[in-house]
Amino acid sequence: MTHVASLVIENPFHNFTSRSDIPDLFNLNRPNKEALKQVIRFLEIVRRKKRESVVLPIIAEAGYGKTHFYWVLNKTITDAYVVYIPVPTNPSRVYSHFYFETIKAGGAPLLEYVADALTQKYQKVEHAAVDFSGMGNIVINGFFALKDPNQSKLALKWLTGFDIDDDTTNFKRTIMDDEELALAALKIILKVIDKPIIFFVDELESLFIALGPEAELQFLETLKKLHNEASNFILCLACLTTLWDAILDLSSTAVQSRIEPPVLLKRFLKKDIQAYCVQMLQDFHQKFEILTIDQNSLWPLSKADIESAYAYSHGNPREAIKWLAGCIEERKTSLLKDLEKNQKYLSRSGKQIKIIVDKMPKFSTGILQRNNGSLISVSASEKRILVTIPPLKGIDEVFHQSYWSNLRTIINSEDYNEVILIGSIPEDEEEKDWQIKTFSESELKTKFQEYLKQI
Amino acid sequence: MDYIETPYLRILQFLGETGYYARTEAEKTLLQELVDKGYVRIKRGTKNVFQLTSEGESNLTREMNPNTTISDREFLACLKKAYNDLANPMKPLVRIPEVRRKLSEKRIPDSLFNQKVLNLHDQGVLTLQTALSRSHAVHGGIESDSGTGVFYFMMFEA
Repeated sequence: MTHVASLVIENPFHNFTSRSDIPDLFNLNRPNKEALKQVIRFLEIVRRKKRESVVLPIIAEAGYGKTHFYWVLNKTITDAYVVYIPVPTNPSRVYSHFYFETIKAGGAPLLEYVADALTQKYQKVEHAAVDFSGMGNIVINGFFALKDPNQSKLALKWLTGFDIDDDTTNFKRTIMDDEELALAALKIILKVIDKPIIFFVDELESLFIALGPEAELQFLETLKKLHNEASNFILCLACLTTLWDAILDLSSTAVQSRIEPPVLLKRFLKKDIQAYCVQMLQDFHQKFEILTIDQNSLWPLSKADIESAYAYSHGNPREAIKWLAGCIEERKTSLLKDLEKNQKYLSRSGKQIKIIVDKMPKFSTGILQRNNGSLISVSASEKRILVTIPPLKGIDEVFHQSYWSNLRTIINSEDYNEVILIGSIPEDEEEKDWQIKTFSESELKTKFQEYLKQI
Repeated sequence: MDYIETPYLRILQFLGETGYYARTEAEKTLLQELVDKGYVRIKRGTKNVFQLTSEGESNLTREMNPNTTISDREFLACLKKAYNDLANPMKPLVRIPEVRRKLSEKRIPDSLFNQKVLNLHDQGVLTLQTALSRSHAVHGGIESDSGTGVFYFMMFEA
């Protein structure tokens, strides 16, 4: 039985800002189809050549789904690893930041994979030294130590910064303290790993806004070095449209020449807002037990709400979702009031029927009360009777539609000897030749009781 | 004549022989452009004081006619041409003030330009995108009628 008091109806549009730590529930294909295609195309180039890296800007105004696009990549692309990189707060600590975020995304399995691949390929650390000169040598030592039971804890502390137990707390150094070491480690991971990595750098403009053009310039120059020295990755730079021009203008021609033409995320058209609503409202329908109406139902929204969301937002997805959230809040209050009234009515009628049936020997009842009507199963020896009460007149039409549609399904699928309806069949339903006996509410005590006695 | 040039020409007209002293690099650049067009000249004996020429004067009197009309088709064609001239693969979104400037010779009043561009956006012919903040779009942007921001960029795709 659903109690309105405990019915927490969550607004399906309450979440209008995508976050990197909470996966997005649903992706609308059209607005980022082209962008996704571009990433896949570059990924194919990187995968085929294996020694290539690509810098791909993704530009759009605020609310167009840049962070959401990270989740699209994360969920859609299976032949690459996708690592979310928030822009570092310090432009002089870029590689350690990239390294830490990569380790955070890949976890211990990533380190194990790299260590296994290195030990299998080179057997001894001396053999690997030729391929990874300079700082790379130190990092290689760390990965080989990870496979050595006597050193693995310390190696893990050095590679991740996490203390495993008391033995490692006194060992203060980690790879992230040194930018050059972090770059060397990134290069090794990228070289050994089985699939390319997509680094998704979000909010590229943050450094520009917070610390000024010099900080942004420094960050871009650091990325240029990563692009030059490492391979097997795509660097997606998500940036606001307004600042993209400024960032591009201040960056050196050497940086500019390494950047691919930007990929654009598209806005919502009216049809997109509608498709988004249909998808997001499914759960909402379930909560209200609106299960049997049109699959593409916008209830409790209407076409007019879609129009107004588009007019208000001008297609900006975040603004459109915010608007829809407001529309739902408005409708929710009146719907919940309606439901409360309806539940009281159904309870009252249900109790009356139960009292009548309980007085009769050999009869038993089972009550199922729903938002869109009440169903009472009455059993007597070998007979099964379904007693049903439609929703209160005057409440939202959709509850009535849902009730009749639900009743039709139950009658067709379940084997009842008799179906008794308390109330009356609407005129349009009568035409469909229902085999239902009806009693009005006032006839419950007299005629309905008599009828049951005959059974 | 566009939305920035006209106010400067009016100030120069008001100041007459005294001329206008350009204080910032942006002003100097803008006034130099007007010198190149023949509307303005540098006051003799100065470097940064500008005066209105007779051509500038007559241009100013031929002010934009608020009743100017342009068919949707013609407007779209002009807009597309201006966009194509300004956009490049690295900067696929162009600034609306630059498009306005490109279309200045058509003498389309700002309100008509704004309305037509907003309609094209709503029809899905083009996409407008907002500036970072209102302060980034003081000049030449299109205020969103729903108050969600100031459109400052456009591109021909939806």
